[in-house]
Amino acid sequence: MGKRTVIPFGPQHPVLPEPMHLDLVIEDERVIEAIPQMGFIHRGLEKLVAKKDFMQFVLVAERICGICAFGHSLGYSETVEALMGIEVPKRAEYLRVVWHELSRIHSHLLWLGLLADAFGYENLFMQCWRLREDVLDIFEETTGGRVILTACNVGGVEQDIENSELAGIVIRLDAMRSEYGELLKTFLKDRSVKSRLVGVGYLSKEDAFKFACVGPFGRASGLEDDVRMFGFGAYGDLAEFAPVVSNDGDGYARCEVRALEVLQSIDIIKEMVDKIPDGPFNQKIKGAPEDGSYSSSRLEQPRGECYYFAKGNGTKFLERFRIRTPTSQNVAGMVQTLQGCELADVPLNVLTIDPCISCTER
Amino acid sequence: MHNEKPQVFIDIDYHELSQRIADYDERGWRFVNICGSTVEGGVELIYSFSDGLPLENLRFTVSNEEIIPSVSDRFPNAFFFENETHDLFGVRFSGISIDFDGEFYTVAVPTPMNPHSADAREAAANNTYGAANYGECPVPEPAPVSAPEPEPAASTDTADDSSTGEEVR
Repeated sequence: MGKRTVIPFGPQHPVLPEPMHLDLVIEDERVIEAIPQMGFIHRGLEKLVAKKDFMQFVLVAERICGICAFGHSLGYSETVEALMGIEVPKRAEYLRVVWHELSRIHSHLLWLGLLADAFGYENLFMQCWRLREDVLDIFEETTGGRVILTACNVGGVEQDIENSELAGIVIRLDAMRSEYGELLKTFLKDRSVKSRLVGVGYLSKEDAFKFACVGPFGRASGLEDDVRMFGFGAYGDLAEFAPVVSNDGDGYARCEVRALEVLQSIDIIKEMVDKIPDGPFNQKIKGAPEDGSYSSSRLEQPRGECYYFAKGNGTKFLERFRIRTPTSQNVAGMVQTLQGCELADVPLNVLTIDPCISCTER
Repeated sequence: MHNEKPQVFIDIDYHELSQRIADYDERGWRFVNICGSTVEGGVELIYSFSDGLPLENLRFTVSNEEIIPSVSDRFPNAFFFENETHDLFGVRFSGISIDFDGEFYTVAVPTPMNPHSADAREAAANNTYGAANYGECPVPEPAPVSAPEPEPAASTDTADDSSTGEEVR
């Protein structure tokens, strides 16, 4: 038995775009225990409900994270709508799904690029991010923003997308699909990629359930858990939806699930565009959340289930707003995957849960 | 309604918490979240659990003196939220699997942010409020307001240089 040593990992590390710290207890290059610490950039955004009224706060919610920006504005809006009993126009629900699935595509392409960069495949990294630019271009053309879209609001969406423009988006996504197929082949078939991912960071289905893992991280271990399959909003109008699941539980499976979800999102957008009804896309909101009203809601963000909670107090300011992000739910599972792994695999393991510290430190 | 989602809020007494948690664990439900909010007389806690589509929220209020049994033995990912609730709201938990003892969040203002919490009162009494993470964080004193300088009175001193009539640059 070798001597045990504690090695600090982070908060600044090349594989981490945002600060997170791990104390790694290692023995002969093998990790025995990992103790996580976060909280370096906690911003207290939830507390801002005391200063921004419930219509203004959607702008704060969107700024929680630059990758899941639209998702947070959507999750917040849905929670407040449930709090006040607001029914959203059908066209707005479809447009929300279109933007949300585009966000998922750009988030997964970003992650796939980071993964390629982490195992030293620079060209693959650049190709992923080049494709992602197409999605950001669509954001810019439809909303005016590439990162912060300001497209969703309580009661609907801020602006419409013309049907002709929606058809154009589908054409562009179809073109992207063929290019993406080449990348997909590399991620899933290339020998060097497999050698870095297969069998690395294994998490069993039982452990994934025990640690309540969510999103692609949980689905890669066999958990059939995806909020979209409950049919909230326009997702309920999909002809069929089955979550992308793998039973391998390793880094390769997490890569596979996210890579295939990009194609699934393209299919969802195409179906939404085919079925989108004409009509209003927003409505005026009157009144304020009632005193003592409670509401909770869930949304499938690119990284997994995100939980939102709101409490009204009879004024235009919410009494409390809460976001539980997928990363905070997945930390315990990540620690489990680190136990017993090689020290050299720690960065890849951390990356394969797709940690988003901005969301977690909202 | 399109946005109607199944959600249940169940009011309980906090003494029932352990039994309720054991029930959820035995029924195979998944732990979702702990949310704290400051209310009169303490902190309102909401524990959320899910079994696929159904989402149940246990709601109860604890006074600032109470110590809550940790649920991290049954639901390991709860350690994150228990440490967070302790740091920000001053709620005390016993038996957290990874207990950061008030150092989970490194924030630029004193914690816990609930000034009525027992921890905050103790820290204030010992003059260590906010010292847990990074040393004391004194509230900056406002800059002293200087009294306006009196208008110079018309000089009658003929010995002053300015009275010589020479231009002073």
